[in-house]
Amino acid sequence: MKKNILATTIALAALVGYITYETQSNTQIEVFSANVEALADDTGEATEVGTCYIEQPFTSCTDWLLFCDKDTDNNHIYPCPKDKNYRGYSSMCTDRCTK
Amino acid sequence: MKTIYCVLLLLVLASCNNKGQDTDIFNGDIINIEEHAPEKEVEFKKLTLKGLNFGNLAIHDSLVFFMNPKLQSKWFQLFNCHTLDEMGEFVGKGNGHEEFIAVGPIWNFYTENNELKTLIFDGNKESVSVWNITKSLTSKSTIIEKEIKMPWKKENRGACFNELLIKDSCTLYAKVSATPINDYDASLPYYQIRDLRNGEKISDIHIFKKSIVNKQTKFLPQTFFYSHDAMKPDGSKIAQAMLHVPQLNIIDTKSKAVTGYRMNENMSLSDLETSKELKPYFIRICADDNYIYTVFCGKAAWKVNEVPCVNHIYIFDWEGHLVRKIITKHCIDEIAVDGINKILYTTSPMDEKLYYIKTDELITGATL
Repeated sequence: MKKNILATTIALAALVGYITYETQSNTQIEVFSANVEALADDTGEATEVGTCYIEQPFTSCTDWLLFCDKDTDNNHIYPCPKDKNYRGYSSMCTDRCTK
Repeated sequence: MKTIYCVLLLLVLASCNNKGQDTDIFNGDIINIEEHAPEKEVEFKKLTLKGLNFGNLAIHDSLVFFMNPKLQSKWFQLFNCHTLDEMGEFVGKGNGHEEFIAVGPIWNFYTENNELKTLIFDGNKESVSVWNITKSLTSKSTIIEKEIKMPWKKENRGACFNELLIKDSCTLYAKVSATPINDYDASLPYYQIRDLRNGEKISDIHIFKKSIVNKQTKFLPQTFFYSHDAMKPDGSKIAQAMLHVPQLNIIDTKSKAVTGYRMNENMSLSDLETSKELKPYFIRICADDNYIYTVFCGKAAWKVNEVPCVNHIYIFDWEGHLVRKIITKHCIDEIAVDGINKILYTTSPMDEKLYYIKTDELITGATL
């Protein structure tokens, strides 16, 4: 009798342990899957961009404009300035800034 | 068969010739002028001002003004041409009372009650402020007399004022900038006459009738009609030295009549609509009651971040005649004329000197 109770208890404990393990694993799998889906998703939110002008050290054109951050280059763009400045600008090109 | 070919050829030629006429574009008469004028090589004298000097130059009766964005807390630096001393920094930077987020340069001056004044324009504040220079020098602090609202965002549909020419204490000629409509077209620049007592617009002066649409050029469309402007000190005329066409426009401020004086550089207003290479012609201007002094380039446009050496000054009279071509030994950046003492000043992009010469020396004397 006692042996049966002990065996049943052990079996139940093992069963509970297994069920708990399986549940956590499934949760981890779900989270992992969600992360993978998120990483694989290529339809993220768009970033609105505006136009800014490139300041020139010597120029034939000056005006009140939004000037690009001085560190703007082919790989980096910066937030559009809030205020206009009166400066010389390139008459041949503009650049982008983030809104 | 031959007739058909001729007709087809004519049709093809006609369709290629879709360039407009200058008379459709310009709101005034265009007069071709004799571009041969006596040439003179001159060497300007040099001044070394006692202090950092940089930026937009303005001169009044031996007072030198620099609108210097490099200054820490002020917008303007003043020097005395005779003593070379710095007389102070004025017009505070900031967003507080009587401070300015950004300012434009000084275009000209006026006197009222024997006090020298000018206007400070902050495009962000949409207002001009009267700066009393005489009282500021006496008190060694910036004296702003009043602020006049000029709501360009609403009134001009987003086109800001580029140049502000003061005729007298009551009257301002404010040039409205061309603004891009799309990648190849822009609105027309024009002048508004405004009352400085209340800021209200009195009337407009239109220099151009039709905009330029050009899909072939790399230049921004708002630069097609770009010009550097100066007012005759007596307030009767405005000279516009155009950038991409070798043409000097003279506006009669009373009649509002506009006349274009065109040099023969094989470039017309209607050529702005074509694939013809755009060159910078006139790149600076200043004027006294007798003459208009322009810095002339006439070569291929320089590259982004390049600093070219431009050393030709073309001098016109107020009837549009080219009277002198001056070749300087130094490269020219800003120019300004002291009409009272009859001295022309320039700065150079190559150094921090202030170059000067008596205007009589430019007009008279031996030429090449």
